[in-house]
Formats: sequence, C-alpha cells, structure tokens
Amino acid sequence: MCFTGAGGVKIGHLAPVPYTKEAVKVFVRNIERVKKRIKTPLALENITYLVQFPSSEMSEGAFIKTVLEETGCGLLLDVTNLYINSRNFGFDWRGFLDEIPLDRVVQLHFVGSHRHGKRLIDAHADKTEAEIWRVFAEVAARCDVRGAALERDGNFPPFAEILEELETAKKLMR
Amino acid sequence: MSLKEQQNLLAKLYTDAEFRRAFLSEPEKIGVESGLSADEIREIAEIMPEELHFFADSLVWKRLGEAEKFLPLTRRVLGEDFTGNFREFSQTYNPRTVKKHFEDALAFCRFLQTRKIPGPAKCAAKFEAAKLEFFGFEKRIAVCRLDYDVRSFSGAHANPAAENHEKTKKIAVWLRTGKRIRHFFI
Repeated sequence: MCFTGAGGVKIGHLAPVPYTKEAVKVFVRNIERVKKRIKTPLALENITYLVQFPSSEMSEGAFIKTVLEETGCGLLLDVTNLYINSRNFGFDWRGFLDEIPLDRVVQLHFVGSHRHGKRLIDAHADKTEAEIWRVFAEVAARCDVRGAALERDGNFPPFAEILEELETAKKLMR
Repeated sequence: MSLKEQQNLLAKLYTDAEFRRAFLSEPEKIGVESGLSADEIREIAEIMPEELHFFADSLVWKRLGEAEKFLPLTRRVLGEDFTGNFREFSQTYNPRTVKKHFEDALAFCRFLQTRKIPGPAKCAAKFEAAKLEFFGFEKRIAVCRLDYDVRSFSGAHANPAAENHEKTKKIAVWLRTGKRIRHFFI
C-alpha cells in the first residue's frame, strides 16, 4: 500500500503515503477500479517505510484496517516489513497486530532484514533472523494463514539454507 | 493540500537532491515557488530531514545495486569508482519506464562515455550497453567496435586493474537466428 510515482516523477521504489482519511478514499477508489478489471480476490501488502508523516491522521494499523474493511480485500502481511518498521520507528509490532483485522491475513512474506547505516531495510538478501521468526510465529498462531513466500532475490546462500527456512515456515504454520 | 499535490512534491523531494536541499534550507521560499500555502509548507517541512535524506539515499543505493547486476564487467573494471560515478549519474537521470533498472543501466553506460575514466572502463560499459540492447530490445544483430579485448577483463586470470590492459581493436557481434543466439569477436 504505497505510491511509486507522481507528477511525472518515478520514485523507483515503494513510498508511503500519509495515513489520512483522504488517502483512504483514494486507495479505496483505486482498489475498486482494479477489482472491476480482475476477478481474482485481491490482497494488499504492508510496505517498509523510511519516512513518517506528522500530518498522518491515524496509525498505519488503523489505516490498513479501514482500507481492508472498505474494500473487502485480504491482507498479505509482510512480517519482515512489520518488524523493520517497528525497529526503525520504535513501536511494538504486537500493537500493530492488535490493530489490524487478523482474520483478513491470507499470506505472509518473510526474509531477513538488512542493516544500512542506522536503519534496517528490506533488501531481500539476508537470512531470516530469530526476531523475525518470532513475528512470523505469533502471526501464524493468531491467523489462518494459507501460504507464505520467502522473498530472497540476492546474496544467495547454499540452497539447503533456503529449504531450511521454508521448512521452519511450514512448521510454524501447522 | 490534496494528496495528489502532496505526492507530487514528495516524489520530487525523494528524487531531486538539489530540490530537496533547497527545500530543507529554505522551506518557505521553495514552498511558495512550488505554489504551496503556509500550512502546506509547514506540513511537508515537518517531515524529519534525516528520514527524507535516508529514504532518498536508499533509492540511489537500490538503483546502484540493480545497475551492478546489469553491468558486472563495468563494475569489475571500474572498481570502487563505479559507485561514485553512479551516484553522480543518479542526480542527472531518473528512469521513466517499467523497465527502470534496465533503462538506468543503459543510460549509465552512456553517461560513462562522457566521463574521464580509464579507457578499459569506457570500453566495458560500451560492450555491456550493446549486449543489453541486443537482449533487452530482442535485436536480430548487434555490433560493437571496441578498443580493448573485453574478454581479458573477466575470468579467473583477469587483472581487474584498468590501467594494465593493452589496446586491441575488436568487434563484438551478437546474432539471433530463430531461437539460436551466437556471440563472437572479430
């Protein structure tokens, strides 16, 4: 749930929007347009962000909850993104889970976080660390998750390590 | 300020280093020039400059990482100067299509031809640009005249130190016949 360009400028990555009532309206309108074109159920994903807006009128969790409720979409919960945001901006990821409608979570994304200077980023290039497995485990225990994807697309380890991570995910989802 | 106007301004702040610096040092002046009201300027100026810089920087790093994947030979020959040159390039160019990293890599190769860098590095960039165009645009044929034998830039026995390469005129050719692709040097 983001924007990637505006005013003819391509940002080149996912950028957050201020969590406002107007942004909810725009998201809902855009999602309805997409839903008219495709028949497949739509799931929305939470992003990592490096910028927060003091002008936001609600929390990220409340924003996601409102958009999901107004569109009927599922949630693709990226547990790594949630963990990274909680570390970068000093909030409790459990509080975020308490805010969102967990019955809407259909799939999880996960991978390790990557330290870049003072912050963590989602580089898709690191082994999933224990803290992220903790988030994964709690979400898996509280939601009826139907699938999970390991988002690794760089700095590849031996394949056995990938399989091991998938096995851990499967065990946590049982 | 409407979300649309806010996004327009944010996109510019994230991607245009000069505009970002100007706005952060004189938000009122730049804000008024951008058509913002006092409240709108305050709203945007409340964003932490450190967050803004970090996000903008992360965008360049992401582009850099992708460019390195597209241009392994140029990266190898240019060494650490690849990063510095790319950072300068990133301030002059912003890709516009969905194939943004491909577009970025090609434009960076063109940018390197205008830079004062060792001949082998320019040659590696020229070679990889021709290769990218052949595969990316699904060309039937691509021909590239080179001042060095780029094959000596890579491989187990290659010396990546750019100044150690001797000039040798070569022509790299890529040919597509049906599903078969041939690549050779003359």
